[in-house]
Amino acid sequence: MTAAYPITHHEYDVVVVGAGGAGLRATVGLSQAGLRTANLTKVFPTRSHTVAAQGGISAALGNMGQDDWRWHMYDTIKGSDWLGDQDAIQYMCREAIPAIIELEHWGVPFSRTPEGKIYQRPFGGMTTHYGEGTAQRTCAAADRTGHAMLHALYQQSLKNKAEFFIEYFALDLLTDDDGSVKGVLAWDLATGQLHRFRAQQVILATGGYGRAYFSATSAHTCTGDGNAMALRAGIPLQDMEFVQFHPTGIYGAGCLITEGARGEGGFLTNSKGERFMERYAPNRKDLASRDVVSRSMTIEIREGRGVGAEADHIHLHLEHLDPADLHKRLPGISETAKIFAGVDVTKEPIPVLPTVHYNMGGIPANFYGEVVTCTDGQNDTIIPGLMAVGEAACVSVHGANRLGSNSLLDLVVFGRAAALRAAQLVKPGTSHGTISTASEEKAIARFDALRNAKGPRGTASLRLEMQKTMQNHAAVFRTSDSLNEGLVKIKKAVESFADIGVSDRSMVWNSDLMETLELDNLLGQALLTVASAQNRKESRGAHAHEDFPDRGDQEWQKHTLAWRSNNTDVNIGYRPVHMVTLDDEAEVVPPQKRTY
Amino acid sequence: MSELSRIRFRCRRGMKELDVLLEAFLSRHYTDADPALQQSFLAVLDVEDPDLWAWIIGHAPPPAQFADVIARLQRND
Repeated sequence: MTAAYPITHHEYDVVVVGAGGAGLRATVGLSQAGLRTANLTKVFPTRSHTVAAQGGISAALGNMGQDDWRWHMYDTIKGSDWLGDQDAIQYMCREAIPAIIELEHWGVPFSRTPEGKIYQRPFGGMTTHYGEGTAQRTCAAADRTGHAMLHALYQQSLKNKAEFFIEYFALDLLTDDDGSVKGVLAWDLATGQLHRFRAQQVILATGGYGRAYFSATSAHTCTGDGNAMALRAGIPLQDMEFVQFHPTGIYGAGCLITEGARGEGGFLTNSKGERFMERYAPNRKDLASRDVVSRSMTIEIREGRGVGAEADHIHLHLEHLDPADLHKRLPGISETAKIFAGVDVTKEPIPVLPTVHYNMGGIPANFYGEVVTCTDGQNDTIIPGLMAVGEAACVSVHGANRLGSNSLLDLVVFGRAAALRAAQLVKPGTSHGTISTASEEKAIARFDALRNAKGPRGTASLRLEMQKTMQNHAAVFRTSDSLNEGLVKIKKAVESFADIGVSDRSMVWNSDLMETLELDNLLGQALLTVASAQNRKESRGAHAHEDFPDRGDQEWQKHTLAWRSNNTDVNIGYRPVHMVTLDDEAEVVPPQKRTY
Repeated sequence: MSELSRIRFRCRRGMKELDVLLEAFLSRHYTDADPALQQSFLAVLDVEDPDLWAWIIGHAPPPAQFADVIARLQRND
């Protein structure tokens, strides 16, 4: 088998997979520390999905008035609905300040106050004095924060002599006989060559898996490849049932219509033309919180009152608003609706649907970025050689629900932390451990089998089946029945993957094969998401379960761990939530009712 | 196959909005487009996401050489 695929060998101190904000920040730190660092990335760094993060990055700099990282910590814990690990949240909010200053020094052009300080704007859920006032904590580089960060971090990485392998698709982790991670197998999309990278540490920074759902704001490249590589290496994924939705993605395209549209007077209707939010939220109506609006829309659709030929979406009306106001207050909305829905917002409603926006779950990691699992009653067993950062990781700082502008922060703080930790663990130039033959052969065999897959089922059709199942059964409206049914359907989709067929057998720019590998990755994560959701019998943050509407701290204030035990079976375990702080600079925040 | 497949991969962006527009043009119109439009489509793929998006939603005027392809992408038909 190996003979059929000549393999190019590489050795580095550390290999980072992914060149979004987290992967690049890790790469900068590693290369600064004198470690020989390779970064493997599926897409060119400035085309990572971080580019879509336009809102900003939070840090209690106090440039606009009094602020304190402890208040930021409190907000993040409350936002997480007490599922976040409080030591990790303390670390993130305290380290936010030096992490932002570094970005500034590296040339991120943050917007300024008249006095020349970094300008900070208010953002949902960000408060002062433990929920009393409104914080101005979010730093932004105009509406290009994500792009500016990627650009600055890529330049710093190159300056520090990190080596990039761009348009390389990471296939699998390579391990020794004991399961310690020793490297990565990757496929160079442009030349078709397979490459084996040996490393003392592999850092997965591969982002979320929004594409498992029919409607997602994530770019097409967001297929959670690192999560799936970890799963195939026998590592569990944590808190996969927690998926954040945005209520108003354009039907079919997934592109966002900002919440400002409802703030400016936009409202939602069902197929009867009824303003149904009046029933679900008599006071706030269309201005209720994201999760309430998303759930109400989904109930309307499930009860047969959706609009469109398949009665599967909702209408958002802006046509009653003054066009001049609309243009001034909501720039870009008219154009976005015209382009993606073919709708003139001054005359017709926009078709919308609750849309996946962020995955709180991922690879379990501590706040140093080291991947951890449970073994033999130990809750924090480190998997040697493997780290995870960014949306791929579950540290867990976002718990059951992420606050806006905390995602870019997560990327830089934990990218930086992982580099600092790796610099402690790895001595430059150390000789490499042995990759087991079985591990390497298994990875190549999987690739070869899919490349030659001759089954009757097409990748696009199975992907759609998976996406529709996830949208109908594991989105915002969850009941025991919908989740049980969803689990049966997603297992059927996973089984159907055995019938997949790939038409193109070439090695060079084979997008058919690449999308099939990505589908394989998505299916495992979809399976774990439904199984974890079906298992959690409470409502917390983004997981709203109609049959168990309350948060159940006694039984459920714990992280879900899910292992894929064979093709369609999932084993569930748990890790305790860390209700401790790092030191006496901050106190633990005990669970309270989460109200805003 | 390989050339179209390569272009298809280059249509992958950081922003979902651009994924949708570029992939739609490639799969529906690219092959039948006149060579000048094909060339400017390939050239526009090298533009950074925030610039491309600003041109498409009209926040900034596209450079003259991209005016046709941007207008074509805006149609999203």
